[in-house]
Amino acid sequence: MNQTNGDSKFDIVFMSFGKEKEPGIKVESAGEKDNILKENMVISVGNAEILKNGTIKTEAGQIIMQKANFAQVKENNENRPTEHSLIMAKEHGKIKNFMKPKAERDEKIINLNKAKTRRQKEDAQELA
Amino acid sequence: MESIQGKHFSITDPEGVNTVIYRINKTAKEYLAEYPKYTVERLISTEELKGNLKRKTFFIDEPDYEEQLLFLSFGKEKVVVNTGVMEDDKIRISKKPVPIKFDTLYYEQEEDKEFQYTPNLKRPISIIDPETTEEVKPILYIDEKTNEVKGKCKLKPYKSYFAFEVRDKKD
Repeated sequence: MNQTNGDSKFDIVFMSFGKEKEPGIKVESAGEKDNILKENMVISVGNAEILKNGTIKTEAGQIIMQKANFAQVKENNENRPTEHSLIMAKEHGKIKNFMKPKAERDEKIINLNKAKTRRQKEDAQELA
Repeated sequence: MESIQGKHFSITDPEGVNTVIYRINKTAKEYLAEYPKYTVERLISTEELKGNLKRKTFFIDEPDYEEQLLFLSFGKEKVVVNTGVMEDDKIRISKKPVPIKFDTLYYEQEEDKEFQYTPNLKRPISIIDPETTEEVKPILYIDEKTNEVKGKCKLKPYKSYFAFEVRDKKD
């Protein structure tokens, strides 16, 4: 187990699942020579919007992405319990998933799992 | 039409390198009793080839005025860990990346094995297959015998996986 020595605000802890007393990973000393992202030291950021079909609209045009990406972004957005996320929810008059009582969240997960199991059974029956 | 606002940015990976980026979220204090202090989310991305190089475009939804990012650049038997801060219209990358070497020796014929464990839900750990850079997602279930939440995930024996968690910085 090792920790970063960089200039970040937190520690990132790495773990190895190697054999006992034989670590599978080795951390080398940090330094600029190791920087793979030399070409990207300062990256420009632009405004964008992700649409329900997965397309990302930017000022320069559209970027086509997988449709599933929208669902992923939406799920993360609903379940991110940060200060900023709370402010955004209040601004838009929304109640995000993480703001709901735990019992309600758990019930939603149970229902989703039940629906998934039902779909899997139906698919298996169709294949049979 | 339903949509979510955010920001986008692009990076170019050197040959043989595959970079994935995580957003590091700090939980609001009113939710600390229920959630871990830090959680990570992998940013969605798309890539296009430019000669031998891959240009990747990432999307981050509803960013705060300052977002902490974690860059993991996977190469052959090595991953370089970088942190970055997104502020308004730019991202500044750390000048001190951490290179980590790992051993990829394993038997090709070995099949995935299911490993069971008792997860600590206050300490989420992310596991990545360094060859594919895909996340290994554990499945959580309730053990009816003990009525405890258990986890299981499929891993290849003798293979190195990259796993990490984010914690408060030690002084």
